[in-house]
Amino acid sequence: MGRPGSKNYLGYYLAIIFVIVLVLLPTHQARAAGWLEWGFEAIFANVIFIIFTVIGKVIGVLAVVLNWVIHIRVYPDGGVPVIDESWKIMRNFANMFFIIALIVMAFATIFDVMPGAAKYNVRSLFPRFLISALLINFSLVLGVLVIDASQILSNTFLTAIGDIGNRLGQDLNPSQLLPSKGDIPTSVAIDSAVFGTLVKLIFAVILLFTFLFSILTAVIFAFIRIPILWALLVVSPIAWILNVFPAGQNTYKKWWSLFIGWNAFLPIFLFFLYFGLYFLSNQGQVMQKIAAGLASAKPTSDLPFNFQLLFFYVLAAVFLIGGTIVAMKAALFSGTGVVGAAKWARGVALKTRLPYIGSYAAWQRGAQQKWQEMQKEGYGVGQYRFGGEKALETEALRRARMLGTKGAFEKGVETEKEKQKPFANNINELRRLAVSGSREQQLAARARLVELGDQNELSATKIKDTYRLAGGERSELANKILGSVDQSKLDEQTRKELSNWDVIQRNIELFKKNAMARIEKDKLTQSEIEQLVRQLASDTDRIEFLNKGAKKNFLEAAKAKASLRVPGVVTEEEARIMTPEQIEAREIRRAFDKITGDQILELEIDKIDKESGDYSIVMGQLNRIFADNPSRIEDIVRRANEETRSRLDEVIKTARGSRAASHQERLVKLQEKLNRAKEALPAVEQELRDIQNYPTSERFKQLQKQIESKQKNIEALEEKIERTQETIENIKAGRQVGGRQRQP
Amino acid sequence: MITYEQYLRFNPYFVQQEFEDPQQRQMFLKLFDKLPAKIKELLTSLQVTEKVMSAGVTFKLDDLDTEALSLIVRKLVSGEEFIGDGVALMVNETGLSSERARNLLGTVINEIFASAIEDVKKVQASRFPGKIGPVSASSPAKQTQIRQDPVTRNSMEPPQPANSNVINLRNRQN
Repeated sequence: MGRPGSKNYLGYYLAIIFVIVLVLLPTHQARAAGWLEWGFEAIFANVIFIIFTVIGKVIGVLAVVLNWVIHIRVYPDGGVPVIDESWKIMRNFANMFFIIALIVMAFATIFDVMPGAAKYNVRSLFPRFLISALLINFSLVLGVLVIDASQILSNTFLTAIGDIGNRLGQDLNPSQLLPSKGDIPTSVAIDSAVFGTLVKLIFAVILLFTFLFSILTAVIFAFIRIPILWALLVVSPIAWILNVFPAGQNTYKKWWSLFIGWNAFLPIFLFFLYFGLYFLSNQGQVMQKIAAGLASAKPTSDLPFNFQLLFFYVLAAVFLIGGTIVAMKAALFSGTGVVGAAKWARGVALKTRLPYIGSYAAWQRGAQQKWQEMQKEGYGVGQYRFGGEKALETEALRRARMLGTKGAFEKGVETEKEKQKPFANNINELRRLAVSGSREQQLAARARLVELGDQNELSATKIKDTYRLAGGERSELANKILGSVDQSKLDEQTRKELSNWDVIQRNIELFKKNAMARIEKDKLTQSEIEQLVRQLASDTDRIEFLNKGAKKNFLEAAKAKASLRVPGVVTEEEARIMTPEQIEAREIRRAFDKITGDQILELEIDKIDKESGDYSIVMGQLNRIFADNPSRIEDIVRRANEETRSRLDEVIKTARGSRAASHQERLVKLQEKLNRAKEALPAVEQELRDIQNYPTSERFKQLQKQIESKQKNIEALEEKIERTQETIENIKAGRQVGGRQRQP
Repeated sequence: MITYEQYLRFNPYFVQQEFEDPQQRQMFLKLFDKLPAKIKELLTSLQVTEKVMSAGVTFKLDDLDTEALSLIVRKLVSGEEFIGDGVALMVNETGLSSERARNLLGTVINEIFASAIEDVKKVQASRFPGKIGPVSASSPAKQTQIRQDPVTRNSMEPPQPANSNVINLRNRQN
């Protein structure tokens, strides 16, 4: 079913077509014999003729139109009143949105807690707001600048091309593709043999249509770009205001891609058109070459002339069509190639370093960093700052603390630590803050001083004071601070004082830390050790604690182990059958079996009372382990340092000195040697006297030397005897061996 | 393997420790800390102690004289005494004849000092700069000589006496 009334018009249309055909058909004489043949020839020839004539005319018209269109300036020097006025309306309208933008920012800043509001607050939007407010008034000028830039580029090609209509008419001559007897008679036979007229005709028609649509598309796009660019110019203030809001930024970017794309259309199209026309204008050279080649052409192997010509035209068409397509894409799908190239060019320009000034990009990045810093640290220069995230955070923490928020105080101290970083190594400033700043400042400064190992902060009084300042026992921060104190860095007295502090006594972990540090660093009595062991929570802790004592409190720790019957030391059966003294002796022996070289050097034997049983126990055990393995003493002597060497020497000397009987034996031997030496001396002296009349003889000199040596030997022996006697006397008197100074 | 008792008695570090004047002992201990590592090893080594005892046996020294020998080793190696006075020291302390004392010292230098001979030279040169010239690095040929000419315990017969009171450390045969 057709539309109502459509049948009425159909008759009119058919009548018009019939009249046109009658008018256009050529007149021929009627030939009765070949009527049918004539009919076909006439129809075919005329249809082809019509097609070529009509399309040729259309192409001619389009070429003229195209020439006119591409010479139209989008925005002439005097301006376009419709655009100017419309733009003003849009600008005024867009300016109203700044008020809205300010209100949005204000609300977003006030109600910052709302989800997504952070994107709209002053800190986020203000820079763009300022830029847009400024540039919105120049949006027309900026747009015209871009248009002018593209026009300058287009003018380059327009000047080179000249009149496009003429150039197309001269160079584009598809009628050459039609079969003709006059132009290239030698090829006719070959063509007919190889392709046939029909094929050539089809190609010619297709090519002609291709040119037609290519030029038509170019005309349409070249024309519609003008109103589109005008429209984009008019709405440019809206695009700029949209740039202020995060949600509108995509639209702003889209506006720029469209604007640049449509501006890029003409230069790109003209470039390809110029290239295509240049190609076609040189067709004469190509024709000559092709004609010259035909002299030796073979129908079976070489390509016919018209086919080569066809190929040449196809190539030209590809350039024209390709150019149109690329230019269309630039306009329609702008944001791809053209916009990308524009961005790249802008990047290069911005990054180029200018003398004395530097690159714009560097300034931009520097400014961005400064802006970020100001957002964080506060606005202003140096120490004169206001606002900023830090200030806001501090303020927020203060309020949170006022409201009793859990963890707010701890956060405040952490923030203060961050603030104090610029003078983290300035001990005087930290000490000043540690006593005179706010609570947060004091605690932050004290924490840093402790890190720096400031002994002022590591006294028991200061530690207790800091603990109270941080909130005492119920404060997580206070316990954290106390836990962070490295007990091994404190002095012995402070450790002892802290050990008796009720806060430490109540806190199992802190007590353990303190106890471990004490037994590792300080000299403790057996009863102190036992008391600490009893206060430890688990057997594992107790064993760990006593094992740590092996360095500084070797004997006491071993005795405590035995005394407290620490698990693993005594079995129930042993406890029943052995006396406490036996258990202790066995534990001491076990401990000495495991003693290391360093532990031996740490044994402060000189501090043990020599009258006590401990002294003889230690000496006995050392003599035992050295006698079992003499190489151990060799190793220990080499390990010893200046401080431990003297101590070790005393230990060895004392251990050896206890063997008074062997010294007595030595004394007897020395006495015998002395006697023998003394007995031998008179004989030599007599011989010397016998030859005293020959004082220059060799023998006399030898005897003199012998006497001298023997006298010195006697002196040496006498001295040894004296020292041995002294040693024996000292041992008997219980004094330090070698006590009396030898006479020089 | 020597015993703990033997080690303490004949080792150059511990020798006559209990009979020595405390101040002198302290001086030695301070001096010891500043000695080169090789000399420290030499003075405290079990092996060196064995070699001292072996030299004592070879030269038919009794225990007291072997102790004296060990003390002389300590004094020469640590620079407490000038090496040129070594023979005289031997004679005075052990009662040996000067010829035997010289031979014993030669043996000591070859057998005991060998492992740290360069350091011994340096110590002696620094302690007695007027008596010993600057120490030059021993040539490879000399080092080879030490290696090729090891004096085994069996070959520790007293060498022939030389007619000089000065011990040349560069001549290992002296």
